[in-house]
Amino acid sequence: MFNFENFNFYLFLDSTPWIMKLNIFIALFFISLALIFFISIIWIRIFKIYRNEKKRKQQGLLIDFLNSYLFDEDFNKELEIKNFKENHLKTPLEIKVTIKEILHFHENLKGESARDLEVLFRNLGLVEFTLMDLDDGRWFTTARAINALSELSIEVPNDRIEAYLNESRNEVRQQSQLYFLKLAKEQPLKFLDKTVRPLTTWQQIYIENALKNFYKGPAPDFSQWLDHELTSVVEFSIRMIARYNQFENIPKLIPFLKSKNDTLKCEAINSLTNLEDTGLLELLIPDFSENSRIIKLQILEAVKQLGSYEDLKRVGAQLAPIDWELRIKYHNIEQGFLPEKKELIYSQFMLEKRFEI
Amino acid sequence: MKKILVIEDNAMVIKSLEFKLKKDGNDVTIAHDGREAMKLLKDNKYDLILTDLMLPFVTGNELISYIKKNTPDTPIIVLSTSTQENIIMDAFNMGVDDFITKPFSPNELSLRVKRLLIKN
Repeated sequence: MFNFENFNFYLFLDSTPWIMKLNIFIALFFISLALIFFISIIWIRIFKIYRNEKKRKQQGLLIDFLNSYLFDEDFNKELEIKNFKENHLKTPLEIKVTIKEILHFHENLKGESARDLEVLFRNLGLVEFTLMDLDDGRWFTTARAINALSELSIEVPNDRIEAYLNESRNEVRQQSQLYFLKLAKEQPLKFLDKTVRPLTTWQQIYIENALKNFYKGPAPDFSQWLDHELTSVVEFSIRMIARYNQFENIPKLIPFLKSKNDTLKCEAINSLTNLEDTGLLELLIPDFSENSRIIKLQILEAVKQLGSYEDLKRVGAQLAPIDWELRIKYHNIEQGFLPEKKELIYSQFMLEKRFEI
Repeated sequence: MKKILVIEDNAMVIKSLEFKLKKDGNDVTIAHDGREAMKLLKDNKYDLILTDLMLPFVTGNELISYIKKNTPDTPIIVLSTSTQENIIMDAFNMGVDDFITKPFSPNELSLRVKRLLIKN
């Protein structure tokens, strides 16, 4: 049996070979590492449970508070706001949950209730916290702060938000663009003048959506951005000219049909087609063969929508015999011009199917 | 006291509707999904049903057909995020009495509920 009383650790170490010492050291190192790892996981878990519990408590409190604030006529607004501010807006977590919950309510309600929530947000002093978040430096906090300001229509000096229009993070740029769009009374796209980073496809979709659903003023003249330095801004403007039926801008779109940039040329053909510009095909068909595949496909689409069978044949004469993608598109469009041919092909197909040819 | 069944899966909307409708003097029952609503509808009778269209397990449209088949006189108000014309038309064709889009105005909703309850 091992005798602990006579055991001397230092003597033991001295008498142990170096390879054993190394083994003991490594074993102890990994045991302590495992322990630290295990304790950290437990601590993080406990912290998360505690935090979630506090969050749930605050949410429950807020649901009652907000419902009473909005719908209870006997609710003493001034006093209750003061109490809530003093007792339940003390920690960053409480503030964060409150902002989130007010935004959640605001997202689902409209009319007088939505306006009441905007007033409440100000009265609870949450604008100051949001502005502090804005300067926080972490991209997700900044994006969240800008989102809160735009959702609740809280105006801050323009330069505070303009600083984020060209941020490296896409999300921050997107939120600052939406801020200007949602709060604008007129000229909602003025921020494009200060934009130096390309608009992503999603940003273009969001801008269009905000223009249609949130902005209430007169539609801007999109031609003012046709000479913008960024291709994505020009592309977006060309598309919007057609979406907003700005027929007066057709002459300004024509030069893009000669553009060396396929994206702009394609967008211009698409927009002019949608605007039903009658002279478009005469400008496109003669030089059809000199274009790239994507432009050729777009021209075929324009012929389908605006042209006659004669126009299509003029394009067909310029198609290479082995260019299958274009030829298939050509024949598909041809069927639309010649319904009897379509019928003939279908009858032939049915006949072959019936007699299993 | 009028009995109202609210079928909705958004906790915030549920709380607001419950609060507002109770404040107006109604007896409000909540169903968080279509299945729960079906169970409640089998055992109870309601003066008005307020339902979302996008629900877990049983869709709003299935629920509306079920209600119209079993209790055709119960008025139904649809509360939905959809603004698509065909969806709104479909709902009216199925026999719903009113359609409210989200975000909604609680005061407006309260008035519409009162109007339908008086009418019926």
